[in-house]
Amino acid sequence: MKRNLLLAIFTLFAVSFAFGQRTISGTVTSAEDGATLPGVSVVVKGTIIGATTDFDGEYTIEVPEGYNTLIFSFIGMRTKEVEVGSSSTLNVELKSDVLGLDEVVVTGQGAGISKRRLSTTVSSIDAEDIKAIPSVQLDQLIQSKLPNAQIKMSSGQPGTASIIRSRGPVSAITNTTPVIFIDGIRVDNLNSNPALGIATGGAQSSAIADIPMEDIERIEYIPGGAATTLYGADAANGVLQIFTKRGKAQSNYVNLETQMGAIVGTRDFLRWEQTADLIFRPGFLQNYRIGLGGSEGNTSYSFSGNLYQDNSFNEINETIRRNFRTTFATNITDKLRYSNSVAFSNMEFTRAYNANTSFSRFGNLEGGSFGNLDSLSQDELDDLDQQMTDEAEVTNIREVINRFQVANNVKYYFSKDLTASLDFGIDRRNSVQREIGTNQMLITKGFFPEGTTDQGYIDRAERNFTVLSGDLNLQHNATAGDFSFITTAGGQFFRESDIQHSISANSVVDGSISINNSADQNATDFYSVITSYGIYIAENMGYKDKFFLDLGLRFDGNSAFGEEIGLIALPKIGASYILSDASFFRSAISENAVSLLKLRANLGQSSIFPTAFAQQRTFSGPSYLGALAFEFDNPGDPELQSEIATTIELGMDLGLANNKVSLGFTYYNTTTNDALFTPPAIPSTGQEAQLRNVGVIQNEGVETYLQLNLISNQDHNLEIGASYNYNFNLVESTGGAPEFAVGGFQFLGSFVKEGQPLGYLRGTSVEVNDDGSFDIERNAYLGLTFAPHFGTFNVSYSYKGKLSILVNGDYQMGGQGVNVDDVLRFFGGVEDEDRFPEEVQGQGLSFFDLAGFWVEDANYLKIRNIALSYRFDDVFDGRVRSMEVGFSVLNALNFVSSSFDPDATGAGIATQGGFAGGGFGFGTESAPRMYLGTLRIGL
Amino acid sequence: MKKLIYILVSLVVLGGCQTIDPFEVVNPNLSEEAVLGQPNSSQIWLNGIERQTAIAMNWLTIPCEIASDNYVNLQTFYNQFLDDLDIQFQDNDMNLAHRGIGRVRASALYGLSTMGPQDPNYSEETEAAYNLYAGLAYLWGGMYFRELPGEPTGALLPREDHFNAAISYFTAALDIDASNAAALLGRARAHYRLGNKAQAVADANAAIAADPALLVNANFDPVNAAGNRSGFNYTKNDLQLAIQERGNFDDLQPLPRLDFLDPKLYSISATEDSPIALMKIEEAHLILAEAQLSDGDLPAAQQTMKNIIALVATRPTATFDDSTEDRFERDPGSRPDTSAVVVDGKTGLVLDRKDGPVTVPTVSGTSLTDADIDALNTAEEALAALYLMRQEIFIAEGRRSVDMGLTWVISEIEALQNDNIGEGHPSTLPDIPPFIDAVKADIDAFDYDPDALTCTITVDINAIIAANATSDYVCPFH
Repeated sequence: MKRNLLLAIFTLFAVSFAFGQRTISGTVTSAEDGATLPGVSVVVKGTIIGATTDFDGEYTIEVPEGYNTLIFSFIGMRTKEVEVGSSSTLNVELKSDVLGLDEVVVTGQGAGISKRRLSTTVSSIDAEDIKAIPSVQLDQLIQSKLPNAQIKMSSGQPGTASIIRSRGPVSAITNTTPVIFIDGIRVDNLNSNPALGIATGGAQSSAIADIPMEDIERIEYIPGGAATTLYGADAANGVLQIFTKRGKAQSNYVNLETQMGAIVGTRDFLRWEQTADLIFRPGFLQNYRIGLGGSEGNTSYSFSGNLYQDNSFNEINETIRRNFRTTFATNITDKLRYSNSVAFSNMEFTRAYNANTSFSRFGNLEGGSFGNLDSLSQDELDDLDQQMTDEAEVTNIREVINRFQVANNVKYYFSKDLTASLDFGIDRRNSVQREIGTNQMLITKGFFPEGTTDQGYIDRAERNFTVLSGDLNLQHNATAGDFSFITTAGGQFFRESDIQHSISANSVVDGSISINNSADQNATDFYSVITSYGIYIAENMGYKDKFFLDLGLRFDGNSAFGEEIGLIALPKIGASYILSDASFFRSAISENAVSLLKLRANLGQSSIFPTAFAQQRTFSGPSYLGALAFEFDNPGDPELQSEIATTIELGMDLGLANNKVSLGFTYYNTTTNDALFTPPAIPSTGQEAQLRNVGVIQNEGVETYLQLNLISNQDHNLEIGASYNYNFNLVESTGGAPEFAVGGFQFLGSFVKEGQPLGYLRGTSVEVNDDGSFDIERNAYLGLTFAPHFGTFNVSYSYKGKLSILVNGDYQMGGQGVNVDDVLRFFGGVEDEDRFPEEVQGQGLSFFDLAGFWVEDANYLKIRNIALSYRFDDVFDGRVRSMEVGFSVLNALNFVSSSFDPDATGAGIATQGGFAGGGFGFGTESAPRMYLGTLRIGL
Repeated sequence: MKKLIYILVSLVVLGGCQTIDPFEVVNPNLSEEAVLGQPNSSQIWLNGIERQTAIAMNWLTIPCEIASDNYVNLQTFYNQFLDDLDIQFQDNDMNLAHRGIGRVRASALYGLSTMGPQDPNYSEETEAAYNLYAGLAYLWGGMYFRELPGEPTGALLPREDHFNAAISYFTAALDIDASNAAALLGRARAHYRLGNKAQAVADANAAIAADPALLVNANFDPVNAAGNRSGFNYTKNDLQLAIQERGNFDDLQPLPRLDFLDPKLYSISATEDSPIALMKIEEAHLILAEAQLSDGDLPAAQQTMKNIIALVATRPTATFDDSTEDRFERDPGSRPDTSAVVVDGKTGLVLDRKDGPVTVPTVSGTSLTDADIDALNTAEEALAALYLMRQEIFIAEGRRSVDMGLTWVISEIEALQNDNIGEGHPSTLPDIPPFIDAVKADIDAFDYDPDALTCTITVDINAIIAANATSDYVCPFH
């Protein structure tokens, strides 16, 4: 029934009405300096009729009969609503909105709403920020740009997963990756290897790496809590929304962009310089982009295409991307607007063996398989160099991704106060991984003797992921005296279909890329088709535009559970008060001293569904020696239900000293009840482990940011900003279950245990006493994989709006990690010299007992980006409107306390989308350093 | 008119809705209803039990080979504690050993109670096989643990109860077919472990009569292996990986005296792994010989041991290239690696792996000759020789630690989730025979002089077993 309801409502849009109209025109200027403002958006309130001011700040707009308010909005200015009088001329002044209070945000609200009214926080990145630091990968792009989120790239290998986290892990069954929407359509955010993915040692492939990045206008991020309530299932880790230029009114343009640069493997974390000499070499990067677009009347369109290629920092990796996106928007009638964005992304890359495989070149060198590289003679190094080159030649791991996204939006304006919006679309992602292990490869790697001909193999894994989204919402605005009401109601669904196949062929003839040329093949599939759906209603109530109450309720369901779980009710309630707008406050404190003081508090819930069908008792039918075999599979738990994260949030936003200082502070406390754990299978039952609602997880922390506008005049603009976040995580209860590993190794792993943080590091600890004796404690606490302190910082300077310099970076403190490479070096007898205290050396301790000595503090401060650009206007006699020349360095500088890269520690996510705490520095290269030159031409 | 349009459009959309039902439930899993009662489901279930038996053998053999003097683990991938007999309840291998037993038992009992009776094509042969595997699971329970739950999260039962349960299931299999040699040999082993000499001898003789070349294997499937070594889908021969297939990783290294038997498990091809024997007739003869020695009948025992040598000679060998193995790569020359080496005064015990193919026994091998047997003067000497013979014949079959009197402990995972146990329970603590505990640091030790090419094994575990034959830990007939 509910499905029919959604679509039935949609059919009610189909009619339009015509009215008489009149023409209004005028000029928009800045209230601060009187300068005219080009590009200001002017919209008739309650309609989709809009115009944009021209170069001289002038506009003309047709206003239909019955409508009498115009809304003027411009980035960095406070949005202004002006009543149209009897005159046909309307000149408007806009005040600057340094603090972004009137910025309209969408994420978490169902429909657009100004930040002023919210009790929750939303961070955003706009097109200028995106342009300033070129990046082709979403997680790289947002790194250091979202003040309250931390992004760590787990490897320098192409297409690999990242750890994205903000408020700590609220669940032990998923990783902390937020859900991602592009133009209102949910997209594949799998940030780990697929269930049937090829393990090349530890590199985790990620669907985030190939999200098409063309034509992005804006990115919004909410970290969890009440802000995510309306998203329901799986949004507990936050929501990242990407908005493209779809429907943006703008003058016609053609942009051309070229980037060229060098990619250099970073030596900062290497044990031996020779490792870099043996397998690193600088690579070349080229990136070409074309963008065009414009508006004609109420129709706007854009196209952006991108070709990218790099051959990485070593002989094995190569990446090619081919992307495009087109957007289109038009008013079908003066009440009905349709817009879409369509994107295609193709990515191909080759990957090296990594980390946890004896095939890994990097892992073997750094892991001491070839002894101490410092003590090798030149002849030995030459041999090793030849060996590495031979190994590179026989390495053949390739992944190809084709991804297609369509986002459609239909908006219908019933009246100036009631709007309906329907989003529907798909994200379709196909990825094919292929590893060819020839006999020659196995012989070269020393696995089989010379002359072996029957051990060649091909592994091929394909994943087809389709998510179909639909979201319909109605927004109603009303005012009554000093009260204003924004009511949003809607429903949404996501149908996620994840179908995977993997085929392995054995005894493949060398030279074959087809599995047909083999002695035998076998195949496996993985099948998951699940719909999450929900309906919600939200009420944002304002009093005197100062006090706001934010209420919401969502009912959440899932096709894999149906009646057993039913619909889960998730409420939110929040309040905010703009104290600085209160007259008693203003009479006491001048606007120059405190321009803004906003207090906010809220409580909200979000849910995470159990693994699909995990409540059922099932059997499996694997193939065994050519015959079918039946076995017990999932034991089942009819009581299984969603885990629910409840967040309480308190915060404030402050603007000081003529808006030169802005700062924000948020305290949150999230409790996950009925937390889903998979306690280890009880051996006497002979059954698999069963997912159960047995735990309680706590997360508590603060999020702060500070932005200083140090210089702001006609010529110079200098801003610096920084954020600091604290997160404390604790597994309050596991329901009595024994601790279990979620990553790492048995001797030194990342574990879940009652009374410890989720994924804490466990292993043997050796305490040396004053008298030189030592005590050994087995299974001791050794550290935290999630650093409790982290944040970002940035400095930006511009001169006359033409020259700009930008530096940003991030840091973390208080976390630990394991130098796994040195554990391997220990086995080769070439461990780091100062690794063990004198007292324990030569005492015959096994590596099990020495585990604690490989745990290091993983504090870091990294300068991620340094970017410099200069814009020339009207060059070549005005034939070129603007020309921008830029130079940037990515992953520029690293200051770390550990002997390994605290970022490149993500290997070992056990299951698809499973918990990822990182913390194990293991045989993989760090994200490389890139030197990029950019030329941008606007015609 | 306008209303009519609304209604028409709504109907079209509602109708269209059925063609794109986004809420359809798609469940890819196999339910109990789908499986039960299906014709031939009992045979398919038996295939599953055999598959789980192979996986259980990985979990039972590897800790045994490492803890005993058969192999030392020199790398990181396999058990790090057991070489030093550091038997801990948090060691995942303790859990896995129990898990394998629990899995085979639960599967076999479910076959007998549910899967079999509901299958219209359920045969006596299949029922006998279910009983055989149920018996095997209980037999393992008694062999590897001092006490163990007999049912899911059940109370701890002493090993005697497990052996007796094994006897009753083997007997049930024999009730269907009295000449089932594997059931006879299984029952002989259970009686042997209980010290029931007469019944053990009777069953051993009956087994030899029923099938003088009995060999029942656990068969691995490297092609369909999935997941990691702790999972119920890892059908690769993991012990084979440990002792041979990981090539130059050289994880497990044999005692130099046993080098000629290594690798008994080797990669036959990319699609075929070596099997591991579950039951083989050599064991019946070994039981007979031990019974004869315990009766003080040395000449009869000597004759039986010569029979065993003759039997072993009929077993196949394999010849293959093993040149990727070293002794051992991280520290070349630290272990005997040439046939010229004299181990404890004997030559021919070490193979040349780098000079062409090696030949190793794939079922049973022994270094003992008839002359060696003739030279045995005392019952104790003979018992030590018999245990050497057991060691050589059963290498890589998960038997040596049991012969040494070692047992595993209940894992933390069972202890904390089974109300009958709990942390700190005696079943979670090791109980190592004192005479083994005294030499635990030297179990795998030897002196090797690579120049003189001589190697001396530090302790002779077989002599220690023979010297302590009357202990309750070892030699059940003594």
